[in-house]
This record gives sequence, C-alpha cells and structure tokens, in this order.
Amino acid sequence: MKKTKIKLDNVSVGYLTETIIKGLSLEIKEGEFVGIFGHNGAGKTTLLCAINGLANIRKGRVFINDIEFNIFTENLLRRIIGYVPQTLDIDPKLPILAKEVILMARYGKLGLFHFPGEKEKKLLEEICYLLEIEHILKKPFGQLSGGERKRVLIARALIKEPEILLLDEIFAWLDFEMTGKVSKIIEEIHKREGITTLLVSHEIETIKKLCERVIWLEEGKIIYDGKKEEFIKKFETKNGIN
Amino acid sequence: MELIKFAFFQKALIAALLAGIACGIVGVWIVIMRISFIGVAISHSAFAGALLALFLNKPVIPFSFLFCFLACAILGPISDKGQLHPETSIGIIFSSTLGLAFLFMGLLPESKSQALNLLWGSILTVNLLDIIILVITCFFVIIITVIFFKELQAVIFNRELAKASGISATIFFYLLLLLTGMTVGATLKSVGGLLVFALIVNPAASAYQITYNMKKMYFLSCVFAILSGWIGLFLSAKFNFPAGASIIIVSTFIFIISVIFSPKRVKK
Repeated sequence: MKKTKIKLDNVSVGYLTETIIKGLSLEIKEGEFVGIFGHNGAGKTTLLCAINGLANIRKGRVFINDIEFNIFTENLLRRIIGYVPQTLDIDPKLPILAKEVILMARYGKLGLFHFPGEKEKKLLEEICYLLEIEHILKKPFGQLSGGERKRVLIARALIKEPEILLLDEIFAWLDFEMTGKVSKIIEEIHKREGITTLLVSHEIETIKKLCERVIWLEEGKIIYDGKKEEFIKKFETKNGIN
Repeated sequence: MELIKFAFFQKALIAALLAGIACGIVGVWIVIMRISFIGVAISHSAFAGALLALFLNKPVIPFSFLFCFLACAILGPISDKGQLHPETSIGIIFSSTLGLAFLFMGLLPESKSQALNLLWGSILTVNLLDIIILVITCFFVIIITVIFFKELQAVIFNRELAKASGISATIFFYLLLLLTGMTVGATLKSVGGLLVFALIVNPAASAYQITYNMKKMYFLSCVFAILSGWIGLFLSAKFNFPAGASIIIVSTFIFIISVIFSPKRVKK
C-alpha cells in the first residue's frame, strides 16, 4: 500500500475578511497524478499555496510525508516541493537572468554558505535541454515572453528534484506545440521518478489528458474527488454535454 | 584641491566613501524590491530619534538607531501581512515620525541649528567617532551581502518564491530592513535625515538603468554613491553650497545621465 504523501485535515484558508477554502480535508498518495479542477475563484491556487505553506491557514493542519507543516518544519518540507506559480509579475529591467531564476530554487536545498556546483550545472543542462530553453538562459528573466517565463519556472521546479510537484496553470501562455511537448515531459518525469503531482487547471482537456484522479472545487469546497472517468461523466452531465 | 590637505576635508571624503558604500548596497535592495517608501519612513524615524536625543540632551546616534529599528519592527509586519495597504500604513508612519521630529524640534530650549544640521547633514564636521560608526556599518552591510548573496538575491527577486524554495525569506527580509535602518542611522549626521534617502535610492536607481547583472549593479551603485559624495563635496567647497544638498543634486544628475544613456531604454 502506497504511503500518504499529502494530507489536509479540516483546512480553512482566507485572506482579509474572505474565507477561500472552507474546512477542506483530503489525502494524496505517493506517486498520484491529481488534477485540481474548478472555475475562477474556486480556490485551486489557494489549495496549492496551502500545501506549500504559502497561504494564511486559519484552521486545520497540513501534513507532508506525515510531518506537520509548521514554523519549524516549513523550510525542510518546502525543499522537497517543486512549485510553478500561475503568474509572476516582474519588471523587465530586473537585473536577474533566467539561469539565476532557475538555480535559485536549489538555494534552500543547498543551505547557507554553499553555492551551486557541478551537480546543479548538470541538472540545469539536462532540464533546459528537455524544455528547450538553453538559448534563453543568459537573457534577463523580465524580458522573456510569457511562454518562455513559464518554461523557466517549470525548469525551476524540476531542478529541485522534488518529491511533490505543484503545477498551477502551467499551460497558460504556451503555444499549441509547446503545450504538447511540456505535457509529455511532465508525464514522462512523473512516470519515471514517481513524483506526486498536482496540476491545477480550469481546462477539462488538460485534466483528461494527464490526470488519474480529479478533485473538483467549487467555492472552496470539494464537490467531487475520484477517478478521472467518473469526473468526466459528472462534468458532462452538469454542463449538459452528451 | 588645496582642501585635501585639511584634516576636516579628508574626514569628509572618508565619510562620503563609507556612506557611499553602505547606501549603495542598501539601495540595490530597496530599488529592486520597490520599497522606496519604507526607506523614507526609516530615514524620518532616524531624524525623529535624533531630535528626541537632542531634546533629552543625550547622544544622538543611539537614539537614531533605536528609532530606525523601531520603524523596521513596525514596517516589516505591515509590509508582510498585507492587512492594510502598505503605502497607506507607511504614509501614516512617515508623517507621524516627521510630526514627532518637528515636535521635538519645537520643544528644544536653545538654538535649532544642531537640529537643522541633522536634517540637512554636516559632512564637513564629522569626527572620528562618526567615521568609526560608518566603518562598522559598512563592515556589517558588506559581510552580510557577501555571505548571504544567494539568499538575498532570491528574497529581493521574489519573497514568495524564495519561501517556496525553502529559504527563511521573512528573516532575510527583516535583516535587510535592519541593515537599511543601521545605514540610515549611521549616515544621519553626515548626509542628513532628509537627504540620506536620496543617497540610497538615486545611485541604485542609476545602476538599475545600466546593467542586468546583480553583482555589477551592487558595484555601480556604490561607485555612483561615492562619486556623488566626492563631487558634491568639491562643488560645495568651491561654490559654498550646502554639502548634503550638493551630494544629492550630483546623484540626481548621475541618475538623469544613466536614464538618457541606458541600454535598457526603449529607443523610438
């Protein structure tokens, strides 16, 4: 039996006066590929932030590898989580290169007083070759196109050699061809490394293609959690699709 | 050039060098994180602290440091939690510290010239103790920047992503604020409470126009800050201008030049 990788126990998350996720509980097993589906404002991104310890948790507990997320464990746990944010607002003049943005993801794992070495160089080469971004590594990150930035952020998540991958709308900004390539890379890495992967998307086709299990959120609550096939039937019934 | 022979001018040049290095480095953080307003609030807190010290007839520097650190302790959580819009809260702190400063100034029983010196700065009257304090501040700012270069780079790039990488981003953010406070406190006497902030922002903003490399930005920012100090001092001596104001005008001139010749500028 596979061990529980992520566990949320009655978690509520909010910003200011609004509660976005309301008393949510779920378990995700090691090696699962889970789609988080829902309309805008359903709480998908907030759920990823709750798992990553970036959200303001008002109630409940989050466990990664059976270790509770708290002030003492957060940095250790975050080092095994690769996270691709939905958007990143960056000034085009910012003096930081794409290569530096990718390597920054290893800084926590490297620890204080240690700098990227041969291992990081090798990982960088491999991942950038896969994502076809070798030619933009020396460009300022702020000057990359939306699609290039997205691929750099995916590389950033992968260079951590994560046990858990949190992907927030990763296909936004990618063109048709690159969407196909990136989804194949994610699928292959998931199969080869057995990384527990959570993919947030509001596009049913992406979920259909990649995920085994789907969590459907509406107004911060789970309205469906189960196999992809059942989810598709439920979705089509709800939307009157034959 | 005859002025260089005088001890007071040599001390002023050394103070400008040290203040330039500290302000140049701190400015890089402030400009990249776009928290200029926090810097303004800290520098006005230092001024308020110094005036309280004058009112109580106590040494100026410990009080200005204390007020800077207090401002950091208040501004950090405000900027972190986002419960109030940061600019609103910082605006309130900025105006209230300025209000306090002028209250203490109004209560001063004797001449206000010492207080005005703190406002405009008096780099030509710095003493050995002021220089020692600047050396200590520079030492801390440089050492921390070198040792934690990668962590600071990640934090000033994006605090949320730095957190997600497993870096103690909040601790480093507070460290940046504290070093900013320390720099403001240490340069208060030489550059002045109102002008120190311009010496933090202008050189770094000029360097920002020129390079895409973070290490070069640190270097250029320090060079511009030191040049502003030295050229400002010579102009002040030659034309009998107030030194602090001359330094800031030179730094503004450097900024205008770097914007005009910036390789990052969109050419039409």
